[in-house]
Amino acid sequence: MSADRQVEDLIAQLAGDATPVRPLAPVSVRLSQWLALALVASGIVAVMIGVRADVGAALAAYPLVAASLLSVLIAMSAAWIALTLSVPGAVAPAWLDRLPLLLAGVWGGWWWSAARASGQSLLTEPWHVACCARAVGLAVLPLVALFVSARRGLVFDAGRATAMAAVAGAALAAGAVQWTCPIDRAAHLFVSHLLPMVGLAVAVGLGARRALAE
Amino acid sequence: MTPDQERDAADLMQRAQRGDREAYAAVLVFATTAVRRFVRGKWGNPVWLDDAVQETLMSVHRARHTYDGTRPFLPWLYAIAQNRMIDVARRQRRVESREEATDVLPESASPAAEAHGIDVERVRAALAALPDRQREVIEAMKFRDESVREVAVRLGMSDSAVKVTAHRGYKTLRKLLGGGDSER
Repeated sequence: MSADRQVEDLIAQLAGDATPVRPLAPVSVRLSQWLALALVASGIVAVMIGVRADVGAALAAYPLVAASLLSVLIAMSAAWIALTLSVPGAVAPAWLDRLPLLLAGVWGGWWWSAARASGQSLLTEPWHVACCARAVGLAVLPLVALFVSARRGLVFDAGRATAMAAVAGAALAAGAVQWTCPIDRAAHLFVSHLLPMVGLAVAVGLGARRALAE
Repeated sequence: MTPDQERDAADLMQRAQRGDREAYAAVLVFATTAVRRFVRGKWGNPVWLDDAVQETLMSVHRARHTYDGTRPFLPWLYAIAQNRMIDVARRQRRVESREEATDVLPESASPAAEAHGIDVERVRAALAALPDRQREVIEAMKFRDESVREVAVRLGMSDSAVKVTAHRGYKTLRKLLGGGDSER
């Protein structure tokens, strides 16, 4: 059979199978849907874990609010990239490319320098398993929701899309866990909130690639 | 491709998403021409041109829901074509590297086959004796590294039908090669 004939036959087969499909919503819509769902899910899980008793006072001081805003910004920018990568031919703005990692660096640098400035040692700071477990619990639903949304598209660069989805889920959880933990010491926040989520992002980014591969 | 043609293709694709088969056939014909030009523009006239075109059409079919009607059609199509081209070119390189090894030893089987006591001529004869559909499925999956899905779309079969056909083919091959039909 000639190549042209094969292509003609293939077109006839595919056209015969042209069932209606629901077009994928634009990235901005999917991003908004994911963010809304992730924030609600994080809120519910945080309430189930137990919101810190001094939340009113903590909100009046800037670290909780600033960390929460940073975590949402990182999550949004990383999720934006992950979802854009699930649409063939779609390109995220150039300025967005490095924004999640840049903001994560600012966050880590902020807590690291705050710990040093107040004489806290990151090396001797005890590692709180409970905070780490809470953070992982808070990360699960946003991560799963983002993977499901990205999988609805067609991902060619599965490595990068997985890494960005992992950063998004982990960042949101690192911010949310602070709403359940009354310890505001910078060294604690760095060692028991941020570092475990960096580890989670790396593990998911490396281990879950197949979930987004074609 | 003129802007008018691209706008027409975008319109046809949106109709195809709603299940219009004629529009879909038309947009696939347009895509075939566009992808051929795209591949030739980047690679000249490679031997795998038609494979790349067919694989792109299959991916377009799978991903047709990802086309956003408010955006231009060609960047979406070319992104798919680019990735399929890379896959096909890689596969072709693998095939060529195997063919080079055969050229070095034209009179006998590959060292690996000999080491395992495989009589390549008998295997070829057994393959030739298989029913057409079984042979086609086994050659596609084992010699051309095609996935079950790719074979299914190309041959117009369901995934499970491809697996069943391949399984029957392996059983027949085992019988023909004197290995009985016991499952491993």
